[in-house]
Amino acid sequence: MSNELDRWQTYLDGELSLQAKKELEREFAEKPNQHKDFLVFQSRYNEIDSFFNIMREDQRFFDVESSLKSIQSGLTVEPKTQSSWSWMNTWIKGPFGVAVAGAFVFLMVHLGVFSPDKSQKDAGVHHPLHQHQPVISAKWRVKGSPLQMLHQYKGEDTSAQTHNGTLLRPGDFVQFAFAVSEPIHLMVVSIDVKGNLSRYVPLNYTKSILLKVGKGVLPKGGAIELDDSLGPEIFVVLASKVPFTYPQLQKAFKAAYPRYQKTPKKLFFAKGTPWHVLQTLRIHKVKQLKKETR
Amino acid sequence: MNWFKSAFSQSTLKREQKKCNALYREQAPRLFRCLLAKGHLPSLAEEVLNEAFLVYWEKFHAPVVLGEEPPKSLEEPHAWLLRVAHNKAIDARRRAIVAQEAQNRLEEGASSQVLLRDEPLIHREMLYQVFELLGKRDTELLTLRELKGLSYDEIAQQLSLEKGSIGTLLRRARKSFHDKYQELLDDALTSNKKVG
Repeated sequence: MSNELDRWQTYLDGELSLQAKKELEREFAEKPNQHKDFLVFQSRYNEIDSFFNIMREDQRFFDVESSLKSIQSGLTVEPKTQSSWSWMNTWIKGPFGVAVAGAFVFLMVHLGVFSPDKSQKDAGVHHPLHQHQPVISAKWRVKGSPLQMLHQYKGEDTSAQTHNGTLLRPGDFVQFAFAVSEPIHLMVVSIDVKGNLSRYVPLNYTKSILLKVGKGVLPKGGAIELDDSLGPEIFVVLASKVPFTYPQLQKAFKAAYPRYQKTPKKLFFAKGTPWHVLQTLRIHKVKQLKKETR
Repeated sequence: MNWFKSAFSQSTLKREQKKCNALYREQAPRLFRCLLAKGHLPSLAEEVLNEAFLVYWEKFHAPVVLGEEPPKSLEEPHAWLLRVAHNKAIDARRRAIVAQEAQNRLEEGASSQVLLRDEPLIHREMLYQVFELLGKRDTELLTLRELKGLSYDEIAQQLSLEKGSIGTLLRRARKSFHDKYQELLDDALTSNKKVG
């Protein structure tokens, strides 16, 4: 029987030779019981195939090469974060250290590679490790006032525009309204008083969101509930002509935060990064809200 | 000196990028399947998978380029990457739930039910779980035939098997897949009944 099942499956897989296929079809015509069993087998085969259809669709969704391409801009290092000699650590440590040092001295002295002239000439040359990326064109603008942040107090029905210094509570909702005249990639993040970075838009993805020309709100069809942290919180809106990722932002933020904690616009600046700080807005989160402060 | 330093950094950078890309090509398809098996949507799975690779780069490759001592390389990067990606996916889903709940509260009369894991998604999750439960040979066979669409000839060549045995092996693999799926489905139905 199992031989028969193998034959049926090979038939359904379209792998039987033409002759074997004709022979099997002739058998089905001559033996109705066998054909009946085959139909039962075929229905199970189709059921399993429908499972694989779902997986095939997912496979099509995930293209390894294009997905790999999308992370290439993140596979870089921060230049100038090392001492002038620390880059050689991996070479001068260990048993090959002496040989490497000897070869290096040979290069310097005998080949004149490290001549004073050459050294001076190269001193001003910058060799960026990042690829240059286009920045936002001068043409790009947000119609009217820049992206507006709106808030709605928990338990209330109306929303209002958020300004610098607006008092909000954990559990209140915020939303961003925009109107763009050119497609743009955008991300909204916040920095709390402890220097923690959080992503607000997009919420589910780490890649920047593409805004098409027109008006809309972010998050699309929703609002964001503020978390439990208290104190000042700065919202930063970053925009770019090309997509960028949250890990890239985190990296730039980590490097810049110790130096620029008091100048939010500079917090995400790093050489070669495509984004531009479009807007910053400072709110203050408090436990209770006095009526007169609203 | 700068030119030499830069040339060295550039070549190290390229070498490390090449290594990281090779690891991605090798691990990403299986990681993607594993994340789906854990119930994440394909779009989220792709995002967190990429994010995990960027973390991996930061931890194990970037220090090499910077001439720093990298942590001891992992024997099993798959498990590490899966753990990081899965945690990131959980975080993203948690944030999505909060946003969804906020939205429900904003919309008058909206249902408070958060539907992030609907029936088709659970079904998909089970399919990938079954895939992970199968033996190595069965997984290979089904991947080549069902997901990559190779012919019996090509499968035989790739797995160094007799062409005549492919039909039998595939039938057993499919049967095993179906049986395991049925087991998981029965288990899910039983536990649902208990909860009900």
